[in-house]
Amino acid sequence: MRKFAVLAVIFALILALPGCTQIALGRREIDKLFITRIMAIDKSQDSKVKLTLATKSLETGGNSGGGQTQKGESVESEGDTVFDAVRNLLIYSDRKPHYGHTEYILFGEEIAREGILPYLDFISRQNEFRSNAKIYIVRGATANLLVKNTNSNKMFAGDRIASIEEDAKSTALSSIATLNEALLILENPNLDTFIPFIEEKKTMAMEGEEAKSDILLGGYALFKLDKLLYFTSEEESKGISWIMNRSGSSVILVQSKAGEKVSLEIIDSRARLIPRIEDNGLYCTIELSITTNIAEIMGSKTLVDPEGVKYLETQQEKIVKQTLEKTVKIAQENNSDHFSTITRFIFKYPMMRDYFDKNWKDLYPDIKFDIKVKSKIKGTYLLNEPTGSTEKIVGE
Amino acid sequence: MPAEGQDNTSGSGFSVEDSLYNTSTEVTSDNLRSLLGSNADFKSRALLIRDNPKIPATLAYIDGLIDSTIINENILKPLAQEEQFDSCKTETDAARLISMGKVYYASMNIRTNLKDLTDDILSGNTALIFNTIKTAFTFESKNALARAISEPTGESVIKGAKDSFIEDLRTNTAICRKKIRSPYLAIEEIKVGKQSRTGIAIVYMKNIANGKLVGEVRQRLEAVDIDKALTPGDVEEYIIDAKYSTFPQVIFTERPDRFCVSINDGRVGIIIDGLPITYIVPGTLLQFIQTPDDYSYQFIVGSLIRFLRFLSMFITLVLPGFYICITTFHPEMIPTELTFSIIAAKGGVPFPMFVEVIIMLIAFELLVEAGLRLPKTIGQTVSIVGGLVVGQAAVEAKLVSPATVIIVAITAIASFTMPNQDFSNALRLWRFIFVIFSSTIGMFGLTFGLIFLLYHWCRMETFGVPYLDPFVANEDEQLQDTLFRLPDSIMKNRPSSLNTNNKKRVE
Repeated sequence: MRKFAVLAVIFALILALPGCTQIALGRREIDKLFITRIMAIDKSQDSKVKLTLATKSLETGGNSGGGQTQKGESVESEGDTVFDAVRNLLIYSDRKPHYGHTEYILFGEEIAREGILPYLDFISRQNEFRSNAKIYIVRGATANLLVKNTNSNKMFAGDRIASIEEDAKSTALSSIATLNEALLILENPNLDTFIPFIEEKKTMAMEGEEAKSDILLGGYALFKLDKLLYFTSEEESKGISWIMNRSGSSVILVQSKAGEKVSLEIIDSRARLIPRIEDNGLYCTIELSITTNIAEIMGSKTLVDPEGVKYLETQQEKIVKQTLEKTVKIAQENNSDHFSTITRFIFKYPMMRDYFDKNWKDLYPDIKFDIKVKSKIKGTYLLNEPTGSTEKIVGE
Repeated sequence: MPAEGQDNTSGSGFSVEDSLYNTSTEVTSDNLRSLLGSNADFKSRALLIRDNPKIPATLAYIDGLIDSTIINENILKPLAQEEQFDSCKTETDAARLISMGKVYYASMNIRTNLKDLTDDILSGNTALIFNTIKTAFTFESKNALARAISEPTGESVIKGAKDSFIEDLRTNTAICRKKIRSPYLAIEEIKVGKQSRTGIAIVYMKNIANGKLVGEVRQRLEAVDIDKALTPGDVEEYIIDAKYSTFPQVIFTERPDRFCVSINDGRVGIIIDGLPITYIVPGTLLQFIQTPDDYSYQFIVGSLIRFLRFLSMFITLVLPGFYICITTFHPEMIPTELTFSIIAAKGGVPFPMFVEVIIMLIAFELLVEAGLRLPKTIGQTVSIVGGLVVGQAAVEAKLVSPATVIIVAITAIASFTMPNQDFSNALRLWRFIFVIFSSTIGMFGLTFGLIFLLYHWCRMETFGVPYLDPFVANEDEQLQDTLFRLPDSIMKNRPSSLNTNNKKRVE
């Protein structure tokens, strides 16, 4: 009994001493929560912070077993700061927002250009947010509009973004940037982050029907420190994905000797950044070995013989090299180090760390990048020769 | 073997409650009659040996307990016809001849003490009393009142023996003898219960079991001072260490094979007359989760099944509490899509999650209890009412959410996998404690509850063996037969915590 009393006292102390006053008061019924899936941050017309929270609501349809209808719903509020806006939300919503399931944090283009760090402070300070929440920049419009326009009775914006992420792997258009990664890069003044951007597009509509809004993945929004600098094109996005080893499988389009279009599907791509210092100059070799399969030949004249494959490999190498050069050029022109080149140099020359840290912004634009591409074509799937050409051979 | 001619219970607290039932009272037919004579089933008749009026004797027995053919053929017939009795002149002579075997009976005791005589008669012996020399002979003439050995009902196994213990003590000890034909198998017998005078056998292996353990069991049983030992709880409660713990500390089994395996490990068995279940001490936590089937299957399969049972122990203990935790305190712990499913399911239910879970748990307990009490013929009603009313109707009426029903159902199914009902009952109680802890302060409370349970287990000892043996305080590696079971060839030692005389199972 005495031991039990001691235990009870310890229990009471553990409860009282850490100051977690919210433990006992923290009980909230799950159905009384607004489980935030998307948090969109914009600037309102009167320069206030405009916050939009969106979630998916599941409502069971009728007793006849009509199934469930999914739809997105959203609430919005304004405030002088993000936290102020969060508090003001409570006025508009009967349910208390819960941020533990926030998967996507969207920033409007306007505040992205002004700098996202001030807005990230609340998010990284609050304990409910997951550090693996994904960040997106909304191009062209406000994040609020994108969420509102795409949330409908049939679609929830979050589901759409999730499917975009899946598809991004096979296009190399973009990759995921989590809150944690972004914060880590923003912490370092010599590094610059790149965050995928999405935009609203009207889908093709049937005659008489109104065009619906859809979300499309554009590419990367390149940042200089915390400010948006540039939206990459499709090609530049691929370049970044390749250099950063973030492409799953994408397509490279080349022309065969016979002038026909050949689609090559990337099955493996690895990039290495090899820094070196020579004659007081900084050099960096980007070595990309890329392996593809022939996925399609649009024509019947292209032959898949060693010579033909060699030609295709050369073409592939050329195209990839061009893309990479373009990507590197943009980075150097804007003096923004997206590829973490500085960390490669520091790894190789650790004694020069302080020097690099202090002078990186002056050094970076002058680094001589040497791009080497090892291009290889491995297989051709079920067909070796295009269908038409095989017939010819048989016929002869 | 019965303890012949010696009084095991002397000094075991047999108080002189009734003046007639006094140890110093002389053995005469009158004294016996004044003690038992008023009973309708007590029969006694006077007889003369070989019609010799100098040698009168009284035959006494309880009608119904004895087999009259045995008396006629083996006792009365020689007394009337055996010519050697002609040479007897006094009762002393006759008594000498009888004790030398002139009555054709193997099992015979000489009683000079009324208490022993009464005990014998009440256990189904027939007494032949000589009044002058104050001596009685008792012959075991029990009528076979026991039922046949049947299949075990409570502990079914797929591979394994199909016999089970029955109510008769002697049959039960015989079953053990049949399974262990070692001369070292010891069966001691003592009587417990002031009124019921129930025979209790202590079964152990002399060459294996630790003498101190056997002595402790004997001592505790002898110290039991109760009126009757007719229900299992009567004795159990008196011999366990931690009386306030809900967890069982003695293993009960109706399977002779399991009983004998434990005896062979160095444990001590207790068989109570009149009960078809036997006890094995000391019982540790692991024993309540293992089944004989674990050893009948191939060891990998057996190990996985046993691990599954461990898992289900954890599930049945923690799941309802954990569910309350994550839905009311830590919704960020649930996968996002599942969160929405739970919210959708919860829609329209007026109660907080805690109340929902408690309602369902109580409903489940009611169903279990109802199922036990109802006669078999109308037992199916419970499942219909339970399935339809509690399951479907309650969900449709939005009294509970389907997710809660599923959680409680999983908890219930997991609890049914526990091989020991006592253990399962203890888990039932702790489950409620966890639910209350969880609903008050969330995961912190659940963790505290678990630590408290662990503390409770760590503190418990049964007959000098830690309850969490062999996870705590074991000297050598004894983990081959715990969460998993390694092949028999690897498990060469007996449990070290039992400190057996013979430590090696296989040389």
